[in-house]
Amino acid sequence: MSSTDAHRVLRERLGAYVLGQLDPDSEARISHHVAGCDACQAEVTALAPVVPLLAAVHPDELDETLQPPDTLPGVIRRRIAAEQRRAQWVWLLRALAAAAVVVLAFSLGYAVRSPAAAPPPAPQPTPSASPTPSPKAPKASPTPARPSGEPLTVQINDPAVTAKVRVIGHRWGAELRLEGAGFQSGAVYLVRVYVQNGSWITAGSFVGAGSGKVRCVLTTGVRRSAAVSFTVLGPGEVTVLSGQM
Amino acid sequence: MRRLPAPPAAPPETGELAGLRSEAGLRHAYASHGAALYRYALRCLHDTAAAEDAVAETFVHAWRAAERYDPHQTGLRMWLLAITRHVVIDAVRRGVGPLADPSETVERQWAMGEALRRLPAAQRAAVVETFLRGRPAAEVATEQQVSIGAVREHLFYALRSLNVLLRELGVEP
Repeated sequence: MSSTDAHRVLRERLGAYVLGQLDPDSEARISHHVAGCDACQAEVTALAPVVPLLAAVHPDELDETLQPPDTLPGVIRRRIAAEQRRAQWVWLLRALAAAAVVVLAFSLGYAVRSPAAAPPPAPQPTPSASPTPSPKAPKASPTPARPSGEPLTVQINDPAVTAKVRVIGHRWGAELRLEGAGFQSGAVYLVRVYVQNGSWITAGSFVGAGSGKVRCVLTTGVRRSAAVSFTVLGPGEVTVLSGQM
Repeated sequence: MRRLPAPPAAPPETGELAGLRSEAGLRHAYASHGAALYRYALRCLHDTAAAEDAVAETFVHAWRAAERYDPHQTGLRMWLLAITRHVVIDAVRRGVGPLADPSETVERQWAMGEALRRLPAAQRAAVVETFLRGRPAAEVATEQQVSIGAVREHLFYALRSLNVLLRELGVEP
């Protein structure tokens, strides 16, 4: 074996050396070599700090199959789509507000620049000039309420829980509105909507607030007509409440 | 989802070119880093639903802040990990996951787990079997039908690779 090959063999044992896996004789031989070899000393200096980090790993925690569920990309897509819809509304409202400011500024500018052109004040109506009472200004119609949705019959499996669930069908999918109390404080509840072929989609999750009220809006990428039922799963994936859709 | 025209001759992996505002770019980013971020969130939150939520929030934040991503300052993985870390801390503050612990120790353990996953199978097996499980090198060599020298060689190159991979994951060994 040439000296280069001998050195390579010694160097490739440095892993076992820093991991403390060599027998005493081999360890002594490597130690002796490292003491006189700058390159191997540098290798040992670089490799040694990895060992304590490695020692903290539990081999059973290295589950190579540990992957997020296949449904997660769909959840991300839906959340981003919801963000986009919100952003479009904000943009529209800002544009309207800007347009209103422009119109107002223009009107004020016109009024200031052309005082002579201002129309004479309208004669004040007198009681004799208007024998009939002026019709009342129509009341501003209240903002149309958002659709309150269709109430669903809910089966509750946890006696501590009270809940009402409504569903609203949109073009983009069904929206569930859940209002209730008695959900275990701090626990995460997962809402699933089942579709006709038996598969399900996660509509979202919420955190229980104990005796406090929980009101949440849960959206799905499933059309109202395709949704069959829903379940709310509590800790341990136990069904806390469910209902037909 | 809005599609942006491909920017011409931009430096690679800028926020736009990495495509975090486009569906294809997000899909690519998720395929490359989603699983590692999920394992990080799960390691911190100890709850699969909370970990899924944290990863989903990470990508929504990334989509929202795509223009702020500067590849000259940090790699995409580290940028996404920084977002996940914040999302996890927020989740902890909300009381999600009673055992939540987004500490440096957890992050270092996660990084070592991810680095081990990326080793070639023979190198990973040499480290896991001889060091983590404490089996004799000779036994592992017989099982893998290689010489003890080959197992030691795998150990050496595995440690060198782990050193590099850990740095890539933002952990200084």
